[in-house]
Amino acid sequence: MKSVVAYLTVGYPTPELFLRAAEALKPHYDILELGIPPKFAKYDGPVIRRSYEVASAFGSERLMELASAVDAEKYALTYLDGIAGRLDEYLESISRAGFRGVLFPDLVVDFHGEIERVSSSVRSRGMANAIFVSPSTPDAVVEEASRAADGFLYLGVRPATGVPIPISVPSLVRRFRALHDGILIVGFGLKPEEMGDAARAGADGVAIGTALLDALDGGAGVDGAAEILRRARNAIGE
Amino acid sequence: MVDVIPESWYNVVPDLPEPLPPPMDPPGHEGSSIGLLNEIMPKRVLEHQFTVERWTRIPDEVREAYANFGRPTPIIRAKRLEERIGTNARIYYKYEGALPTGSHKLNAAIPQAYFAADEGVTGVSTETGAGQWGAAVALAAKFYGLRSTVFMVRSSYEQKRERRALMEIFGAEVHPSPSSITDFGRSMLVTDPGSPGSLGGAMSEAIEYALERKWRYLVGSVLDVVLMYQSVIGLEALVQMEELGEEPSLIVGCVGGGSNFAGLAYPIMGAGRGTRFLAVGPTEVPKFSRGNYGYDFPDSAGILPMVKMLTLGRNFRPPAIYSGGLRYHGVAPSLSILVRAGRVEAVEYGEAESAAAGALFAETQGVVPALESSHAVAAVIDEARRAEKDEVILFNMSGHGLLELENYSRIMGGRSP
Repeated sequence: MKSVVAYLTVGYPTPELFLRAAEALKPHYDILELGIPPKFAKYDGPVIRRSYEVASAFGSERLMELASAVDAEKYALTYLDGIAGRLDEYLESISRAGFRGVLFPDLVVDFHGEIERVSSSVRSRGMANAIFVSPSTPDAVVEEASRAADGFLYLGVRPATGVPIPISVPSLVRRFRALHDGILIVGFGLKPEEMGDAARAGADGVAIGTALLDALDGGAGVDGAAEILRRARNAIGE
Repeated sequence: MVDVIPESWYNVVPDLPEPLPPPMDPPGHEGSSIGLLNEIMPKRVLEHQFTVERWTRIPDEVREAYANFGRPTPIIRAKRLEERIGTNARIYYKYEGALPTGSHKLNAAIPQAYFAADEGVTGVSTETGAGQWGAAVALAAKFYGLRSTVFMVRSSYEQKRERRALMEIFGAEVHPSPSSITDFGRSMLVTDPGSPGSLGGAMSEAIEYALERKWRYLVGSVLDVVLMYQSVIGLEALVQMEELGEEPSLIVGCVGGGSNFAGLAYPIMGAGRGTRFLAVGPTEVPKFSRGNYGYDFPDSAGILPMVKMLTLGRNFRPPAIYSGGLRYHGVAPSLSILVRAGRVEAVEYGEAESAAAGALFAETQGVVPALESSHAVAAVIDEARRAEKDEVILFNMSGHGLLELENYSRIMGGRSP
């Protein structure tokens, strides 16, 4: 069974619309990633970076309330940079907000000596680890990440979210599929035909983020976002 | 002989000891400088940059072009040099100067020009300092029926007339940078009418020029994809050394951005061969000994996405050494990681001692090394003098110095090599 992973930034474009979208899109996603604005979203593209700027104005307490109000198989997505010193406290608050797991996009790249320590902390709070890897992650590190990824391994195929760099999705998916036996989710600027390619090459699911934010912020609204997720599900043959 | 030319390029990234940090848009940047690459680089080149696989098939047309221009380049034993310095080691060099433009740069220009032509554009542009990259692009463009425009740093444009002439023979339009044909060049000239130019400025002009004409811009070093295209050097060397019945233990190359060093060293490292790898930088641009490891712009104009590397900072102004190819402020990201991890050792040599080593090499082997490559020669001689018996040293003679003989004379106080 292939999965559709939807990404929303908590509180974006407005708290009301965010809550409505998280609820209304539920039939169309299996997992919901919720972006919590970091200090500096260095691996995100312009759309998600902008959404963080808007959302951070609501304050972290309000954002956590909003995240808590969403009832879904949800993963918190935020950068380890800036919270590494208060990781335990942070994981407590994430856990209280009902998250199923956590994804730190900078764990493998910037804290790769701490994959085991951080993932154990997450696990000890009953949460799962979604581990982010990129095409420039060496094989030996992918294998280490794979061992820690008790939630899923997230392969971001492009250098930043939502930037349409040409790549060969099947080649990348095959390389990571050979290194990881668990759930492999693929994302970062996937076009519908690339979603199909990813699924055929062995991915267990695809993630959609930038396109949803564009829809919610633009004229397409929640219906447009739902349509994007429907197309994704069709593309991966589910 | 053609069989020695590899069928695939080798990418070291899957074999690095730690993750290669991705390119990044600068903090506070509105648009995407990563997205800009989409508009200026050939699509297949970008695809190779970002679809990281250990092996990437070399198109037949590119292999044919490699053969047409003299690949495989020879591996030659520097026997007379060994005798002169009285070493226990056997010294071999991979002679990239045998390529028609006189340096390894052609290895990366050919595939990029091929992929540009394949997507139907009519021309390519680039920047050049000393002129080696510009000449390689000019020839590769001509080979695939493309027009080419090269922005050459004004000080080099005025001093290195032969390099300029070589580019023009290959059909390139060569402009001194700053020029009056781009907005960026004109703005530089308003600020400083007598500007000697800089590589970053020339790069900005070449990018603007390509954007306006819907041409493609070709990249000469630092990016992973360029290092990958250069892997033909080391892949050939593995086969050739085996044919010679030799097992190289020490691999040496000079480092500007890192492409010629990586081209030779990475495939040997990836094959689990070689014991020590030695990167040689210039004392005058001390990026190995004084560089910081952090995100910086690969170009001094700040147009390209930031990459994490050992860097002296993009505003570092190197002294006016003649080894133009070594004046670069950073070290390619993958090489930075390998140096920090201790897998690659790094040393630095000054221009005068390198030129003297180059002259010794010329006297004994007949080949005048490019001043850049003479840095590798200097390190090889020192290593060879203290080598144990039967050590086999292999280094990359990344180019010849026949178009810069005057520079040798100036450095050596009037004595030509």
